[in-house]
Amino acid sequence: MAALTAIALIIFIVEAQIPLPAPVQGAKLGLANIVTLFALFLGRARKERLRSAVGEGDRKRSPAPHGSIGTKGKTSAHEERAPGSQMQDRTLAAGSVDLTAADALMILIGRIILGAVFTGRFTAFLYSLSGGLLAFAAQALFRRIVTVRQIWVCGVAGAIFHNVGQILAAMLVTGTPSIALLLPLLIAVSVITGVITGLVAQLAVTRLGAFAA
Amino acid sequence: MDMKTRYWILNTVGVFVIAIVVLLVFGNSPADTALVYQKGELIRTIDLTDVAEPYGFTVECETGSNHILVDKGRICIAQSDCPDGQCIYQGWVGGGGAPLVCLPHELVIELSSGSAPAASEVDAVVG
Repeated sequence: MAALTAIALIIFIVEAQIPLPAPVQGAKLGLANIVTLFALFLGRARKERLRSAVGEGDRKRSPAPHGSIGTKGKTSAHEERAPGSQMQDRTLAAGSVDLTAADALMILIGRIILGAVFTGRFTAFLYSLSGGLLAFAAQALFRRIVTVRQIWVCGVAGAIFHNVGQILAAMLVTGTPSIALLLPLLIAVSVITGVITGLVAQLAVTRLGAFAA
Repeated sequence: MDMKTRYWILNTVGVFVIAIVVLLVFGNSPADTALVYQKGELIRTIDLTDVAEPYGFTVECETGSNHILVDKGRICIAQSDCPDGQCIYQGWVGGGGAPLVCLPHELVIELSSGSAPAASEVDAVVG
């Protein structure tokens, strides 16, 4: 966990040093979110891998749904097999540590607070926090309806809600609701950046899922 | 590619297209008035149609200042000592609804067309 926080912090600081010369207020890739997504989905990838390993004998029927908290009644979300589903790292997976959503949230908050300290931009802290928390909520929600194959969707949702959170904070701070007019452009941009960061997280989770943490 | 992935690709593309359409529909209306807000307070109203020659002015706050340039039909933040400088990257803006924002200085420049609030007509003939 500490290692993931450190990685997220480094990405966050490095990214903050690179001004993106885009004519869009606040547009950035959101690379640090890769770590949040990774932490959110690592346990899931491990579980699915284990399950597919256990269900090796009867691969036609997957085991009963674990926590069918799904609101739309689509429990199949949890039943998708991990991509590749290589059996050989079964033992490694069994020995690795599980990260829960609470752990991921702690990594995120740690990164935001330390990031504000290290970059010295305390004005940006409030926006990071509101955006980060809203993005986290959206991603935790989406985690329940997508599989490891659609982590990129989570990235898009996170990117969009990060912007919504920042805009809300900016509206409150400056007291000018017209800032919301920036949203359509920001949403269009965050779909693209969200797919990029989400796909990176997806690759990391599916390839490292059994080994890391 | 399974059905679920396809479903989500469609949704994502849908959101993207809607955002772009909203941009195209509302993004092309030229503005005639610029309203400069600092900390939520309207400090200056500029008639963008009535600019004989380009000029600039500076908005001060306790954390720094922004230098704003005004030209006929458009406005920009030319200089700022805020940490990220993103307000400068936004360049010239002449409409489209989206405001110019300098978050660290809590400075917002709204662009409106037609129905500008007639109140507080602070005029803009400053060097």
